[in-house]
Amino acid sequence: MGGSNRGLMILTIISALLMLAAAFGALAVAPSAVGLTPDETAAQRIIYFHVPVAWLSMLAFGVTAIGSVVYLITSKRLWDSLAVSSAELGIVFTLAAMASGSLWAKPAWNTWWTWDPRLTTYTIMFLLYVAYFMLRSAMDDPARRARFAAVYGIFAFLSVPITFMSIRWWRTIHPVLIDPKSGFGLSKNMMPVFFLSLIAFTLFYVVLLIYRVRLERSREQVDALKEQLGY
Amino acid sequence: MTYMAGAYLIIWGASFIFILTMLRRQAKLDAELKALQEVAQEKEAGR
Repeated sequence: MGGSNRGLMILTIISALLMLAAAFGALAVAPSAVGLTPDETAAQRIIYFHVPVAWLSMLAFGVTAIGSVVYLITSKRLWDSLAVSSAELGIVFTLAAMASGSLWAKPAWNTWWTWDPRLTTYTIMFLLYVAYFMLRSAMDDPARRARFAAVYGIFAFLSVPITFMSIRWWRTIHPVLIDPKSGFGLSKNMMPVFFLSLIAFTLFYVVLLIYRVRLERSREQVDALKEQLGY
Repeated sequence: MTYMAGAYLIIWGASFIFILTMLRRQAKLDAELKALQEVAQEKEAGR
């Protein structure tokens, strides 16, 4: 096993352990919120899971935008691989955030879904990145595909700050966790588990991204060999 | 607690499916790469 493989294996194990610790913390260690119905109290714990995956969806799309910009500057395929890999992870995390948010919304809002500004902008963001993959799949030439996807990836990223700010700009029923006026929306004793979850999920994303970029690099090798052999 | 368990089931389920498909794709690509390298070597030897 090479040094980088061993390093990745260690990182994977640390990530898995941190995810287990975060799950245990969210379920058993974090204090219950006060002044809520029993259903709402149980659902409130979703915050230790919902906020990290929502943050990662935006981080992943941010990495796609950075990869896209650097690809357009350098034309190195590695950056396109990074962009597409991160976009795929972003889609997965977006779906997880939508599903967990919906589970929380039922006891809190008495509905699984509502066209609130945050939910609407988040859905638009999700669809924009689904279109990113449709665009990629419509082109055969790798260089052309990478170039068009990079330009689209930068424009699609505009939806991320709009989604993030939607609960501050428009009237909404979605909770605001970080507010410049009222501060951080969690009590002090909830913060350790919250930040543990945030770190655990972020490391999980990094590990998945490394594996996904490797996969993309293998695909490029296969494509290059096929071209060389005239397939 | 049902909600929390549901939320964790979703992320663990989604992660598991994603990792599984990624491993399958990687295995398929590795096999394809090996086969192509063999063809390339044969072509090289035939010259």
